[in-house]
Amino acid sequence: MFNLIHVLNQFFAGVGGEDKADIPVGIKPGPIGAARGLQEQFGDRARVVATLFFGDNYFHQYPKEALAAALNEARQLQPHVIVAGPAFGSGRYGLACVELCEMFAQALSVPCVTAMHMENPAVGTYRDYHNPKVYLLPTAETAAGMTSALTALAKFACRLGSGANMGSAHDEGYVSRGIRQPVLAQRPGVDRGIDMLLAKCKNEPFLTELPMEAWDQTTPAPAISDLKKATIAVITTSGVVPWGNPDEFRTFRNTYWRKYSIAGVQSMEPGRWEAVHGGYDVSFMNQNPHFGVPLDALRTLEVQRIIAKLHPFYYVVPGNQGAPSVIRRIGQEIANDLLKEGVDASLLVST
Amino acid sequence: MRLELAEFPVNEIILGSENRYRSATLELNQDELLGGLHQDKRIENAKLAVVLPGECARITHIRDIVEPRIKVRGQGQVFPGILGSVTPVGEGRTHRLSGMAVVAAAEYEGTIRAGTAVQRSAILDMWGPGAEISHFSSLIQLVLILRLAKGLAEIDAHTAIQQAEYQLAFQLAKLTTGLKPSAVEVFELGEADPLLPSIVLIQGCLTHSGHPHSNLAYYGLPIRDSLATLVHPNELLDGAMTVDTTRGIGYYPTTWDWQNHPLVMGLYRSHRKQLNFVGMIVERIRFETHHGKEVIAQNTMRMAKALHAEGALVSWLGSGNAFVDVMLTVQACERAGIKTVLVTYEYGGKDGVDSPLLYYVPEANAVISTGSRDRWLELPPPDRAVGPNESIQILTYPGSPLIPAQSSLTLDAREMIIGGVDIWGRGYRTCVAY
Repeated sequence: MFNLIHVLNQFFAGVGGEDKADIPVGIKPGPIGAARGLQEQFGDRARVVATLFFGDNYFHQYPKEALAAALNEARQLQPHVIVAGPAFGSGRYGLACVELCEMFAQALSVPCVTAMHMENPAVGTYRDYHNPKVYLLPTAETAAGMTSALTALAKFACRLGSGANMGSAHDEGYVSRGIRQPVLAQRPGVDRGIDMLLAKCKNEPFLTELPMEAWDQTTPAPAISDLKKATIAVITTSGVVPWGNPDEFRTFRNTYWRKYSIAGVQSMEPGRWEAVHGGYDVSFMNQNPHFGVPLDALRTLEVQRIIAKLHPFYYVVPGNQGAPSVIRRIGQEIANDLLKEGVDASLLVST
Repeated sequence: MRLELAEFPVNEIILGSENRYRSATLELNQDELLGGLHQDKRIENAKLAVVLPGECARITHIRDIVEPRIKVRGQGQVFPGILGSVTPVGEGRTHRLSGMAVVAAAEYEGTIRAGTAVQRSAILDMWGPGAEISHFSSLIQLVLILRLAKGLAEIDAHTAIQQAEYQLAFQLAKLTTGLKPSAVEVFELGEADPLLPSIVLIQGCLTHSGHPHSNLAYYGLPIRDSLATLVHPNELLDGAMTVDTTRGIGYYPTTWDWQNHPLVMGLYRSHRKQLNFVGMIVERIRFETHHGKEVIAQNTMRMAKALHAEGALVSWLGSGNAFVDVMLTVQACERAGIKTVLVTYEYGGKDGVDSPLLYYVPEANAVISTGSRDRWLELPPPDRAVGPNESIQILTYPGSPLIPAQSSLTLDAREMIIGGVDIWGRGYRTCVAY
């Protein structure tokens, strides 16, 4: 027997429909609304000590207040597990469930489980948090799947409540948070590979060990309306740095960026700059560093007044083998610096 | 084409006064074996050391590892185009010394400061957490410790190291001529069983067309902007595929790995039982343009089609954008009706939450993960460091520090350990999603 809190929106808590979507965070002892269904599933294995609810609109208008109020209520009850949803296909509700679970897991170190349809946009948010204490179960798209969703939630909550060491997403049935953990397989990779190929050739079922993903798409910033008035900077992942590598960049997996002055410099003379990068043959770059920082062309554009000004620093990180999360952070830091310096646009030179 | 691989196990190596193989013991006379090497002006100094599995020892400056072999029957000799003429190999009988390897541990500064042609070396711990991740830690290692003359160009350094290690390995294997092996394995593709699916091995190989050595050679010839090439797997067993010995990196195969290619061995084990192994396509990858990547992918698929392959085991070696070539090959094969399984290591960053792969295609729906290359590793200090210098350079960049070989190390990836990345599914490592 363990205690849990069930988190629901105003509608599934039975407080009201869209007309009540503005109500702040509230709590009632014991199960109400859909939480009654959950309690039924538990029988005497677990006790829903309270139902926490919020208006869908309220949560999105006042997320800070909503999270603080929810934390305040939940903290006093010291639950062993928190269940949120199921949110099915509802984006607002789904996001509130994920944000609340993330906050509870962080602040109270309580395992949390939510449930929603795989196409709910909040599934992406859940993945991005990579929080090992938060779990998400797949459901149907609509509340027609309520009973099976509550059954799955109850079963999963009991696993969490038992304090068991939770296994992989595949073994436990939750949606992967994109955390890849090293383990030892039963058999060598070669044997697994040959078996998988034979199964595939016979049209028998097989399970990939590494599901495909998709990269984020970046929306470009709007085009510059008047280039003649624009200050232009250069960002390069080529690894071109002052000769001698003063900031000790590595040839791979760098975790920081630097900017170097090109104020008053008319061209990138060979011997003054070198490429620190492990992913391409740098000899041509050392012979002509303009391939990484095209200063000659940009100075010409400046003289011809095609651009207003070249920013007096260029930005660099040797991009080789950069982990996406690190490079994303570096990109944000460089973008912030460019904004602060009043740069309008940047040429991004990769190799 | 039938090759018999005769096994001579080695349980002990003694540096003594004679050169002989007897009762799984290899007794070696260092002066005699290395006498030839000292005539090579590119080599300043050469000596041998024996390091045992489980010993609290770290081998440093590793450039390559090779298994001693010799052909005793059939045409040609091992390492054709390097130790001897370009004579086709893969037939007859070849002796191998198993349970041991020759490690080339060479000090070489290099003339190139950075980039893909920069010299690199790796380490091998024979005990502890470092040993757990490298298959080489289970072999008795005969370390050939080399100091090269100063100022050698990369290709001269490579040739000197490679000749030294291959010649030494050859001399060791030669000690078994006329002796009776403990076991003989037969490798023969023969005729296909029409009831079994035909499977091809597609081996993507990152090479650099502009380097003095391209990273990989076939009969001693560096492979550059090559299109798909059909190689008989037996050729590998006789040393037709060799590597750049100035770059010892955990995600590149050593000569030993090519001689003992686990996917080739696995397909041979299943050959004519569950499948027909129809051969290996060596696919050069890391074309500089997407156009090039598309061409090599289609070209490789065409060759697999010409071999009537129903399925392809696809693997690769290297890192970075070469993986795009690999994924486009998977896509091209799948679209042409050839079923694929991709065998690859994954990235994932320190905590396993970064992207496991660099490029995705929806057709790659069957992937074997051989574990992450990015996880950090803490290595305790060894009692003994074996190598040409007491200091090592773990990172290779202009101005990177030298650290004592006998210190504890924090590695931010597995590639500094030779064999530290399981490129071809030899081991049991994998990753699962949480």
